[in-house]
Amino acid sequence: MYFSQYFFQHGPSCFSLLNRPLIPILLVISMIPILPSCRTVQAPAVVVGENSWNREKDVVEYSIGLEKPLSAKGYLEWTTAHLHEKNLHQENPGYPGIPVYEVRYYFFNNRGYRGGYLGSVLWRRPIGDSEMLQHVSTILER
Amino acid sequence: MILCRFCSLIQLPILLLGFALLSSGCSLVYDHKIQSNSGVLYSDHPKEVTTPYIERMDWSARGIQSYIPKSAQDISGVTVILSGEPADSGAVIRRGRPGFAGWYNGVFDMIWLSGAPDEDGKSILLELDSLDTFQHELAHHLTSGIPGIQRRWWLVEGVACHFEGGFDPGDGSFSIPPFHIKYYEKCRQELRRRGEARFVADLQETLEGNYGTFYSTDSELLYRYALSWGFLWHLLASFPEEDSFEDKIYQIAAMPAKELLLMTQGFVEDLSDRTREKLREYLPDPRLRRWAVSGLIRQYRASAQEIVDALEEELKQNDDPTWTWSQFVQMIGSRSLRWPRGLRNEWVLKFFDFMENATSAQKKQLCSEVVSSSRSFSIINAIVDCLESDDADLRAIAAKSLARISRQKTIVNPEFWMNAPDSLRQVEIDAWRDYLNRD
Repeated sequence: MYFSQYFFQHGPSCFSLLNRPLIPILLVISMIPILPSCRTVQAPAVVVGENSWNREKDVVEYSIGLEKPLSAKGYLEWTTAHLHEKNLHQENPGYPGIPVYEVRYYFFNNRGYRGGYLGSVLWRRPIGDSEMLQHVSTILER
Repeated sequence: MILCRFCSLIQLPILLLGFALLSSGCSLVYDHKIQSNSGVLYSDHPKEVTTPYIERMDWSARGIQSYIPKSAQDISGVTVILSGEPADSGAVIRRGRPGFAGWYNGVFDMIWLSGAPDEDGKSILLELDSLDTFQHELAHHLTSGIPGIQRRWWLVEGVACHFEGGFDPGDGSFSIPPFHIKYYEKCRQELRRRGEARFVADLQETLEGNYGTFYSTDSELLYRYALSWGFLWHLLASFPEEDSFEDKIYQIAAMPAKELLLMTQGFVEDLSDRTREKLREYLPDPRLRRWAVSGLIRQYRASAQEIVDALEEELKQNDDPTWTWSQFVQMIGSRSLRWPRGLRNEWVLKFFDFMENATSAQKKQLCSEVVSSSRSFSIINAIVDCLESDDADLRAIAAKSLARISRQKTIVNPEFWMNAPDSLRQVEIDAWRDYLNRD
């Protein structure tokens, strides 16, 4: 039975039946123009450069060049993974034996000729709890 | 009708929520409720942030009330909401938004303040300017009973700016300075930039303006505040000195707009002196010396000799030298002062002598005020000595100060300086001694 026949026989109440498959399809179609912009946020960070130094014996700074800016959550997730990968909770790359107190990440946009400061993420070891570094703040440039 | 029913359904929970918040005194939303003599403060911030606000609230409320005893006698307590992300909370801060904001609502007798942490994870609420803004908002509350002030926005802001400058002359009391340095400089700057005709026209527009014209342009707000303060300052000076502030403000509030506009011309003449020159006049006055010294240290090309002379007087007349030496620490880090040959070294040696016998509390305050500048390096020996103190907090504060002024890398973790074994700390202190004796 076609939709028009069904509609004229049962009136508008037929929508209750038709709704089920139609609504998700309509939603997906309506989202098509928005999906590419969502992809920007969801895409993994593309790091094009990384530099690190010890500002103090127990303060490590990283300068990270990115192809594209990330969301606040993206920066947090990236730095969380980076801390684990480098084992900064337990090891100090510049001064072995001295636990890291602070890790400061500075993010730059390295795309094109003009680099731009994107923001910073600060991690610090809380007083009394020497096991793990804790996220202090994420500062995003406009 | 359906719409009305829908609205009433939405409104009911909102009303209930509002009622619950008001009846609980906001304690449903905020972690801490602190009651004081002047009002109540709600906040999620830790004690280190709320305590300076409670102290400032009680001190400045007492001070402002002493200037307007009649108008302030029936004013009820104020509710202060210290909002914003606490430091160390994992906050996300977006640049371009105001870091600090203050707001007063006369209907609810409520001051709302919000401040984000800075890049070092330290709350912006602890900055001196933030506390001064709080004093400005508190002045709005306490001066709201002055007859005739209501809805005259230049007068509302002018009076609040007048009390915003209130300072402690050294005996714990509340004193109003002869002029407000920030607003005086802003008036002079805009007078130079815009020319006299435009400046006077702006002043007249500010005096006649309604709420919309006064507050609508954020970029012009500081200028409007400066004009409001400046014109009030000019009017106050035209009354006999023996009149009380409250009598003067009652008369100003009663003046019709036409009469006020006639008095705008003399204001421009009042702005002729440079800030630096005006501040110098008050150095000999014991009650204004502290204010004049703090202001002069921030002036470009101010004479260090004159400030040092005033500090010497302050040392003679005051039992507690901490304030004097903290000004010296700021002078040492300053790049704008003019130091005569030999004077700087002479006072650095005097500072070392003082630090040898200073108490832990004095050393902590001085170390925490060390300016982040390579010029502060000349007092580094006294700070390194603090690393050997028996006071764990002082060791941690000193290590932070050293990180601010030296390229020599150190350990800044307070946990290390407070609790690490002596032998480990000694290794670090020896590294500092080797570095200082390297030549």
